Amino acid sequence: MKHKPHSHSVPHHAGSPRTLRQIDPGSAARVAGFAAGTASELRERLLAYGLIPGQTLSVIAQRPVTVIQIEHTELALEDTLAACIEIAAAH
Amino acid sequence: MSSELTASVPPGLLLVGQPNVGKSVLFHALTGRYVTVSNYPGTTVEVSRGTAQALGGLPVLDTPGVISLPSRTGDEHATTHALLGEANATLLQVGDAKNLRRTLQLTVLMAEMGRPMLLALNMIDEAEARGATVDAAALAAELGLPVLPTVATRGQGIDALRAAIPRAAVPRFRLEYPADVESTLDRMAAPLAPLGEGCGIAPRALGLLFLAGDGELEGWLEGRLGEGTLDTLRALRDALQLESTEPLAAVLQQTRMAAAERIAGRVIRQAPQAAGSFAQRLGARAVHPVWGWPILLAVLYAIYGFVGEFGAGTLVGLLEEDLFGGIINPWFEGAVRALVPWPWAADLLIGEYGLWTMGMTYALALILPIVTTFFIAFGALEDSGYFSRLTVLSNRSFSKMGLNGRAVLPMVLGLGCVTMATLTTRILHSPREKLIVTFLLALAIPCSAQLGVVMGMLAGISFTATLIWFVVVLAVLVTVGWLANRVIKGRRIPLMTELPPLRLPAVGNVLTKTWARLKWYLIEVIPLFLLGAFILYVLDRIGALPWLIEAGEPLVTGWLGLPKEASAAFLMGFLRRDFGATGLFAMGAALSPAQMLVGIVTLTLFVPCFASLMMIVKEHGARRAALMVALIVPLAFFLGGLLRFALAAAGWGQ
Repeated sequence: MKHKPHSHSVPHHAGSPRTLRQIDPGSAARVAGFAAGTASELRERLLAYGLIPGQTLSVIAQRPVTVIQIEHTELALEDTLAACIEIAAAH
Repeated sequence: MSSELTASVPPGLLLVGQPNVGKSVLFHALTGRYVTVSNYPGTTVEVSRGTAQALGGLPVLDTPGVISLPSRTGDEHATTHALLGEANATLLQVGDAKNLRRTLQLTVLMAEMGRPMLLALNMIDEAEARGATVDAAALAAELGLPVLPTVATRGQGIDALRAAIPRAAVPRFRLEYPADVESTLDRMAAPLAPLGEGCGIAPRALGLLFLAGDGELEGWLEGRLGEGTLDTLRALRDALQLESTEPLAAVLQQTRMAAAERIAGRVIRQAPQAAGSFAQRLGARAVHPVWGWPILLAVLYAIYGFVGEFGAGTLVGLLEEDLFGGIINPWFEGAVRALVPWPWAADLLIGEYGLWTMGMTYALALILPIVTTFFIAFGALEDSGYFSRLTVLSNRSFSKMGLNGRAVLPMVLGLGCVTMATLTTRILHSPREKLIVTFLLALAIPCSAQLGVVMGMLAGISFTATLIWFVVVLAVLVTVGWLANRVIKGRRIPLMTELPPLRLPAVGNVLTKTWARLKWYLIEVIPLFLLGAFILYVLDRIGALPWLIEAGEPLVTGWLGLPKEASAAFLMGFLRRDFGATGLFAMGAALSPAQMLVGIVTLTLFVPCFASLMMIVKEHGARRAALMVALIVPLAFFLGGLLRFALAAAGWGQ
């Protein structure tokens, strides 16, 4: 997986918001919501771990899987799951 | 004082909380009863019971961790089941102080159960080390229940907790859900009310679980409500769902999470965090796509050195050759010959298949030192939090088998004991994953006892032999897993798991755990070893053993190329795989390195021990268990023979 060095500055279409998968390791992000079509059981689990809209998290790694930190929990998410989490645009 | 205490003692105490927050440590602290404790989520998969003597014999129940309710996996269902079944038990939620928001979203649900309740904020030391201070008194006021900071592993706060238990009351707390949810809950209250008294859960909480679609509750209700009432409830739920674009469970969860966020914001003070500690950086390295592998190899090599060379080499040498072979057995044999006049009875004790010379010597001199070193190494790793990192590292490999990295936990546990590991497959999310992992465990994962013997034998041949064995077994594991993924229908579930912090293993916990496992091991193993030696003795006496050995000759000698006496080892392997491996070990110099390797590989793949077979029957039914055995036995011999010819072709170890 290649990372765009400044993916947050790349404009994106309104129809496809940025997902957690596209956030560079070492940076922080704010959860906007879940992608349409995210299974309900998955939503519940992600919510239970604290991935609620408005929550900030930091991305620790993107390989071999996405690793994030919320509060003091480190959570590992496979790329298909990370792609279900939409990230709020900066500011 | 004691009479006053007894008078107010609640009928029971139910420990609930999220995975890996320390429920089992607290359970041990309260009851003195040891249940396995580790630093990874999913260690407890069944409800454990004990009694707290200091609280007038109060029954205490430890439950598997639930991230949130409704319950979704088998181990989580066990928790809902305990909640419904233990009417009137006081709830003790154990929470991770450093993850207060997550803890509180469960608290705000539990607090409405209508049960007396307390909250233990465990690992408060780790929260403080990360710069977070929690105002326990303010939190108690917010929630209307006692909140007690604890560090269960070091016994801090336990006395205060013990004192607070008899005083726990039903919390004065009510979370306001969205208006349409509230009105549905109101309408569900009447049909659910008669049940509330029986199970001691407030109708409102039952309604919340029902709306979220808890499978365990649904089944429980079916047995207690008329079909008409249940249909009414389902209709109310469906109507509510139609009003919302989000699944109901997610709506409820979001409400709780928002409440948790508000409360946490008011009671936590977070100091700015310093740069990551050494443990945090090491933790990140351990899951790094490049650095992770050398770290894994280093860990494996350390286990090999400690268990294979020190345990199976040095310690076994001291015990088997010097202590048993040189001192105890000659003395014992002399005493038996002198005191027992009947040769058949003397043979029963000290003959080739003697209860003492085979059964006890195998168990105490060969296996005991090996499993002890293995349990120590394994316990230290469990405590360190490293196993969860393996989940991430191995995810890609497991995805080829239709599994995700979480499958590594039962697999690694299988290296300890395949029986326990088969039970642990309950942490997996789908029956399909459970089935594949159980089959792979039965086929290709050697348990600690067997692994120890195998490592000892392989280390005695050469490192190359160890490597060949490892590669062959791994290749079988991956290939069969890959095939199983094609054959068994269903969807793969992507990985989501928590990575607990890396910690230095606590010597006390590792030793307690090693001792608990050893005790269990000796109780299980010694009778089976004695039984195994006895069966062989009887077969030998009545002349059936030579016949069986002859009968096995085409397979054992013709196909595998082993001396026909090795048949006895495979026969023993039916009882326990390590018993079989030990049988090969005892043949020692009679086997060439290649023969030894073929024998070891075949036995590694061979049927699981009797106890784990029973566990497979329990978890998957007799039909599937029989099918697994019918697949595994021919496969083991087939691959063993292939290896023989491959080694011969390569000219290795002839």
